[in-house]
Amino acid sequence: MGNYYDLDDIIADNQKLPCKFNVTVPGLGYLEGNIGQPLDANTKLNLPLWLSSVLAICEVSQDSQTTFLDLIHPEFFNNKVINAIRANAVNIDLHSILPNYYKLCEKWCVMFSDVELIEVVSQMLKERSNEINDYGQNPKQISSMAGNKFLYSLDEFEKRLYKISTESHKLSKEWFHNQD
Amino acid sequence: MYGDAADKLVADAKRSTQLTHLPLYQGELIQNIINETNDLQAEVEHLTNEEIVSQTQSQGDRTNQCQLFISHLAMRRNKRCLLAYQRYRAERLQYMSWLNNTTGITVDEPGAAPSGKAADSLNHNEEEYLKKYNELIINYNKEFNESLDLTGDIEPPKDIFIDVRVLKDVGEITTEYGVFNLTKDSQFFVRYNDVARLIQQGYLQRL
Repeated sequence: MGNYYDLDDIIADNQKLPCKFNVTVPGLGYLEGNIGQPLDANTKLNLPLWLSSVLAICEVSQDSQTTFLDLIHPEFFNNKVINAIRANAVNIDLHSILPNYYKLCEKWCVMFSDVELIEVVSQMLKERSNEINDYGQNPKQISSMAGNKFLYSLDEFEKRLYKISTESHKLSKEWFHNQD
Repeated sequence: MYGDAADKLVADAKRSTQLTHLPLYQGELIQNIINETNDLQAEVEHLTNEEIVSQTQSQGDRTNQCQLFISHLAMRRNKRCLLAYQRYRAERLQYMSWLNNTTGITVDEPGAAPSGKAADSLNHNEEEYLKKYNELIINYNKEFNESLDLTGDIEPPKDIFIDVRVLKDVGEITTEYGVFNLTKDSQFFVRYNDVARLIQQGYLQRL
């Protein structure tokens, strides 16, 4: 899962997710600002993914199903966002929702096998990559208002796609030019 | 919160992917992260000692190990951030080496006058790394003798003679066609082969 040295992956791992502790844990009070105190069960906290993802799958004891904490369905995967994606994937400002939307989605789905989310998001990527490729072919369009707005709405992964697309169109144009 | 300093470091590395030069080495921040990791290690040792004492009471219950566990996770996170930062910078240095460009400014930015050496923003160990890596490239290049210059320009030259403008004082160079005194802001009509290296290094700009 992800490259160890990938900067985007590391940044995505730092995304804070809401979660709820299932047990009272001694000595963890500093997470909510009470140094030296225990952290009570049912406390709700925002913890970065690198911490919460491990605690969410680690059981309290060998013979119980309870994990240390439960992840609460985060805002960026709720029905409102999903419906917006379904309605019009191209016009969504993905970057303002999350700069690493696809990465986070991948990590979330690995943990919870959310088949519906996977389908919606892969469909979104297909629709948006068509658009990205269009803009990559026509550098003039990108300076228009709509183009500019679209470019700002891309998440980090899509930005990389856009760069690759622009570059390869440029190279193929040069190649054609050199043929005659 | 543990890991905050490390996040700053990674954000810095991410920001520098957009820059044409390598920014200053974040020595102080790195020292902070190392100190934090040492604190965590001390805490882990303290908790482990307590754990051995209380182990007899709680068989199979991991609740008390949770704090220990989180300290370990935070240390692992810090390590990953530090390694990723250093690796990113090392890759940039290698890239610079291949361009044979020690000014820290990539050649595809014409017109950007070289402002000071990259060495200013490097840590002592990075300087050493860059030096050794350059030596490796030179030694590897020797295997091909005169027949191939790996660090040369990939594009075939279109003209034998070109116009160049001097961006930074070089001093005198001697060519088959005489001696040129390359002072800043002057222009010359020279043979491409004679000055290719200087263009790569960012001293000259092709017009």
